[in-house]
Amino acid sequence: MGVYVVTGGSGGIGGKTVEILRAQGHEVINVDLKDGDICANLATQEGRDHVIQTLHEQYPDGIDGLCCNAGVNGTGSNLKLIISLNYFGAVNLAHGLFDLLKKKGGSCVVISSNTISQGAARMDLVDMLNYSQTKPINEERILNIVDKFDGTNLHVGNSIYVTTKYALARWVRRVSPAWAANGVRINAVAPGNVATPMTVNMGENAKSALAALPIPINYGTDDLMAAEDIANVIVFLASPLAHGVNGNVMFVDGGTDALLNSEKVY
Amino acid sequence: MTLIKQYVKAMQAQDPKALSQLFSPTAIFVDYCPKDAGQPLYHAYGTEGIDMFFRNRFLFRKFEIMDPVIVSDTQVYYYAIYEGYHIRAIATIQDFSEDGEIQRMVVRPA
Repeated sequence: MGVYVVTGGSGGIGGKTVEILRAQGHEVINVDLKDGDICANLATQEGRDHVIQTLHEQYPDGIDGLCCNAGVNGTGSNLKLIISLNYFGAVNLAHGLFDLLKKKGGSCVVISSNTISQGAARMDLVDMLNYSQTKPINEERILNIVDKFDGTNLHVGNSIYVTTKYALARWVRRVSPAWAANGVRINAVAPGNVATPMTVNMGENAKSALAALPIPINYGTDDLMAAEDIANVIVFLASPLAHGVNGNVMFVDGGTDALLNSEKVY
Repeated sequence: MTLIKQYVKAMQAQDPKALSQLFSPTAIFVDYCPKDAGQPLYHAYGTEGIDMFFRNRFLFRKFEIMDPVIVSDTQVYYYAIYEGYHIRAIATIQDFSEDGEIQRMVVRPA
């Protein structure tokens, strides 16, 4: 059985992922702000460093999988948190654990979003994020830019959210060849709107926006995607069964992207 | 009321359900005009697909029509507005199903 690290594993998609992996007999380390096996704030470099150091001490022989799931949606007003947690909390952690993944020929799965196909991403910020690599000064520069935006505007919040998810997906695509050449596969999952603790507490505006993104497999209902639907794909991609899959951005949205973007075959 | 009139009515009311009911379960709706606005063309298949597709367009205010002029039982001119970009368009019912629903509708720049 393998050793898997899941961030944001205390609930929602991450929680289901932890549950499924443990049911399969794997050892799973949940990294989360609360109720984690390792508690850390991945929105900060100190929190990421703490996780990276702890995992190196506890698993010097390597890990089999990493699922970068921790994140916040775009309905909050803290734009800096969206950037720091969603993007840098995933990318910097994955870079910091790459050597452990390499030791066991492991696999990394990053959670993006099906909203990346909706055209709402700020491509100037996507470029800056992907350029930033792991240098703190670059993260700080982007946070200073975002700090000037109107965080109370839902469209702005959504745009920043989509920006981070687009940048994550492109980062996965870009690093995947070199990572695979070193024995580490990396893929992204782009979920649709999922029923999670985040969506339960959404305001009316956000719920209205959800209704405008129909989920074909749930046609005729108001049901969102089940967290388990996403988690099953994450577990598959992280497993040896997905050995041939690398650099893929897999939409797990019940067909929403196909509905709205049927002409985008590739 | 003719299908083309019902089509215009549903479009103006931004009613995806009423719009989709005009189409057969295997209908094809294609709109090439968005390409002139630098956007991917619209393609929707089937009653439910057309319902869901236009629910998204209407709720996000990505699409509306203006000043329709019906010229026959199968054609209507209008200004199609794609996220604020106005294009003169002609919508044509090219085929009907055996049950008299729209089987194929194509919208092109006029």
